[in-house]
Amino acid sequence: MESLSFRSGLVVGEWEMTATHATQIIDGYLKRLDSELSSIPTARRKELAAQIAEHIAQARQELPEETDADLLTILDRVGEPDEIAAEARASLDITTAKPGPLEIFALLLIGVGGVIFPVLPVAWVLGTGLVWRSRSWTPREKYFGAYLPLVLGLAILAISALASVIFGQHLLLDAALLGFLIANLLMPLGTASYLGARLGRRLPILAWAAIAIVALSVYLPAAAAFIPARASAFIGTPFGESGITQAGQPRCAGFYGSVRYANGLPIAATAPVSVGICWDGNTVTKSWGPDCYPSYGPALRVAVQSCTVESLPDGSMIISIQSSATATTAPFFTQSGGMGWLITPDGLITQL
Amino acid sequence: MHCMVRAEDRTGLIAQMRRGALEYCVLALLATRERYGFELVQNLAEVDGMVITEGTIYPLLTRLRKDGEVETFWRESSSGPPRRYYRITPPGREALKGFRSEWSRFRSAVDSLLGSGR
Repeated sequence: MESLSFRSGLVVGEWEMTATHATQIIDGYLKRLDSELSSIPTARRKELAAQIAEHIAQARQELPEETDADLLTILDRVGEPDEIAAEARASLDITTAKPGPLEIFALLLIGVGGVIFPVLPVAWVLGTGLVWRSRSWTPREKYFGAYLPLVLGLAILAISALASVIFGQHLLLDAALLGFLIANLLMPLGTASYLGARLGRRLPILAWAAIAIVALSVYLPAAAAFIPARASAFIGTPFGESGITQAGQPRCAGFYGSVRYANGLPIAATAPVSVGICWDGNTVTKSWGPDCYPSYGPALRVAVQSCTVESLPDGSMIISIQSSATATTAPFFTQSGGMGWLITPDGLITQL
Repeated sequence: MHCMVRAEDRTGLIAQMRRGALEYCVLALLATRERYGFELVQNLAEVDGMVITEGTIYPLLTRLRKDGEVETFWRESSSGPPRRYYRITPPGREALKGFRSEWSRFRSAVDSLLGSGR
């Protein structure tokens, strides 16, 4: 009895049974069975699960009085879910092997490769090659989950590129861009998700965690390219007042502007600009700067293309910064932002 | 090359032999009368040497049904819910007949060879 209770991860201490407890044990078993059977085609899987459930129900009926131990004996005799699943694969001629590094790599190439290298679906093709080599997916899963989407994706890319050449930019959305989004990003992602789901719990939780970390570290910075950059600015005076000048008296302060990329995300990065300015009610003059030292995050690389200060004839000043943020893990995803501020002689800032 | 069987392959081989034979044992049991799953498993387990994990019978039954050698139907039970019964089909009987003659020839051949080496 010791070994029995251990195997099912239960401590058989209370011999009195409650209906819900019994249901929990059986449900837990059937759930494990269902996940082990994940590589079996749906119709057969359902049939098998139903048969086993019926078997257990009938075995329970035969019991004069039901105890935890009886229930565990029944489950023990029915066998471990992985054993039944192995038998099902063998007798239904579904030879799938336990997934390993090859499958993880295939999932990553397909699911993440398009983001890292979106020019041609090279990673997708390579990943599909690995799927072809793998023995962890059934031929059916490979066909519908890998080959067919790849052929469709390549067709979409070719057609959209052609349409873009023929119709040019006349379409509402450039056909090539649309094709790129669908065939280079969405379809591989969908494919990888499906293939991953088919592996299910056959892949250890640690492997899933690793995949999630890689995927997140690629997708998150790439997604940042779609978040509009946010600009803000203020004038910091040594006196704690801002923007007000006393007539005729020049006052000097620091102008601090910033362009924030991926604002709101933990990977946010900033392109700041700071200029020392003085104003006396008639003109704004520069005392130092401009300084533009971009912040470097692990996920986003911010580069400053230009950082200028320009004086206007009416005495105002324009401070502008042209910068861009590039996803470290997905160099093709870049967002650039040009931002300018007008400072009028009275010391007020207007964002341009 | 074929005779060089490693130890783990040998246990796999026996498992395969058992699996292959079990299929016909199931068909033979169903040839006498139709049975429901639980009953079938009990009948098989009663026979000494036919060690099986009960649950592994069902993938086999699924396969046999897929191949058209058995068919299933539901029947009311006097106690409890309706039961899924299994019945052998004409192709199943054919398969069983074929195996019966093959098996007795195979068994005597193996027996005589195994006996000669003593």
